Amino acid sequence: MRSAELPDPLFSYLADLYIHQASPAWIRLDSDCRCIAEAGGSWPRYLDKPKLNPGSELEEHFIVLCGQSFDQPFVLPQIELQDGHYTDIHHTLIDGVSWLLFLDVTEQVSAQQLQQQNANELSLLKDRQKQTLDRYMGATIAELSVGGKLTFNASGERRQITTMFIDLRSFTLFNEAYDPQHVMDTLNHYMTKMIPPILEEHGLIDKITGDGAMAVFGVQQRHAPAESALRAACKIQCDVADLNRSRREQGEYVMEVGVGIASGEAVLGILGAHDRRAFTAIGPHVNLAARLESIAKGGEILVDSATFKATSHLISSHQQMEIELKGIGLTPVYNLQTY
Amino acid sequence: MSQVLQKKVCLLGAFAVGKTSLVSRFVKGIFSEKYLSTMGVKIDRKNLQIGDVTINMMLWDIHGEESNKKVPAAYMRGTAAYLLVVDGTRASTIAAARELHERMRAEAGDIPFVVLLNKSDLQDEWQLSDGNMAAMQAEGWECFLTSACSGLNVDLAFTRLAEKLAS
Ligand SMILES: Nc1nc2c(ncn2[C@@H]2O[C@H](COP(=O)(O)OP(=O)(O)OP(=O)(O)O)[C@@H](O)[C@H]2O)c(=O)[nH]1
Ligand SMILES: [Mg+2]
Repeated sequence: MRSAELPDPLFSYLADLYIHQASPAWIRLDSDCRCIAEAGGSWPRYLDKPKLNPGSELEEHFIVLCGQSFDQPFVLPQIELQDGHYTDIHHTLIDGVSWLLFLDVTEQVSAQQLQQQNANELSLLKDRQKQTLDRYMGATIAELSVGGKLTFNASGERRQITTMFIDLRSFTLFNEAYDPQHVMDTLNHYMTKMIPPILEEHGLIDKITGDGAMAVFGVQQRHAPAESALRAACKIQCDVADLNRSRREQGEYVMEVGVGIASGEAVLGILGAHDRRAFTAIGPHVNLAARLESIAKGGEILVDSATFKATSHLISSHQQMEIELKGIGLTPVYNLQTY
Repeated sequence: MSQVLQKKVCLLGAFAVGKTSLVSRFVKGIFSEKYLSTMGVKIDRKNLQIGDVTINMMLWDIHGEESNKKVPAAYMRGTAAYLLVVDGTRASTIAAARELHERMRAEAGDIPFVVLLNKSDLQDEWQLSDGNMAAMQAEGWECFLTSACSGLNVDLAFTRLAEKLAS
């Protein structure tokens, strides 16, 4: 018995199975490892001109082995010797004799190729998506830095600002149901409705998440930040509603936007080095705005009382509620119906 | 007296930076938009005449470096020179080039190399900042802005590497 676990007949069966699959071909090298001493096996699988005469130089036949040193065993995996055909080349030393073994791995490699191709393409798509999003906010920060308008330093400046969170409802569900390219295209479509109104009102985009954004008002332009935020929010809801009308007509999937707005004092700063600058706003109302956005339903704008007081002259109808917010407590919330 | 030198030259970089496209531009003078991710390695040849020395380049077009599929050391052994390829529209590909550079140095020592900042035809999507460029220059990397698509600087970069091999 050749193997402790397998009876001889099974061992032979298994060996035949694998050997057949790999279609091995082999070479015994001469003592200085430059020329072929002897060769055998399924060479037509590996070479166009499968004549490996004893005494001929190895490098004539295999450019992959040019300059290779044979003082150690090695494996060169997945060499594409012929178009679309992949070979593992093993070098092994037995009793001072150098052997080369060629194994056909085309089938395994082709299966992996499909997987790798998909993974790489998805990864490229995600990169491109992130760049598109970064461009929306990168532009504003870069413009401001160049114009010298963002003058506060990393140690922080206190200011009265308004913070707004927006988020696409049911995006998560949508995300799983469609292919990546379709998801990205749709998301981009919505983002082009959500981002420009913020920039038009001189809002600064602080963060863009996959399906939403955080914006602050009162940084570039100090005057009446709550009003700017509210105008931007109404424009977003209005534009998204228009988009949804036309998408519905075309039988396409629609998504709605939830908005949360809160106002208060915050510490502003720019963190990070030159080409990786990030703007930050830190204050209790920032957290409150995020909470409001998380409970807003599609189409709703929820604001805190500071924002409501500052903008009441712009609001035609609203609904007031008291909501228990985790970590914040019972809080008056104003729901401004937009349609 | 003319002399022929046979040299193994590797192309190294993250996936989809344009390694295969650069080889096919340099060797065959063609470019394709279509992306077919390389498996393992494919070897091509091209001769370059540098003065009275002929450099016979054996170009190893190796699969892209990924976190779950590293370039094996066996591919690097015996390399005479290499090209590090960065995709100028993806700044994140610099990190992969840097790592491959380190591994190549560990495997083959201090051998000639050049850096190709590829896809330079895609100006609108260009992502490398002055800071990125300065950092690479500070490390002593000889960089070329290339495009496998238009052909810009492709021959120049390979020729420069051949010159380093000839001297
Ligand atoms: N516009 C433009 N596209 C390029 C350029 N170089 C490569 N591409 C494209 O980028 C994609 C990837 O190119 P490849 O040459 O296959 O990249 P690779 O580095 O060999 O990729 P892997 O084999 O997966 O590591 C293809 O769609 C090419 O058409 C270039 O200079 N300009
Ligand atoms: Mg390739």
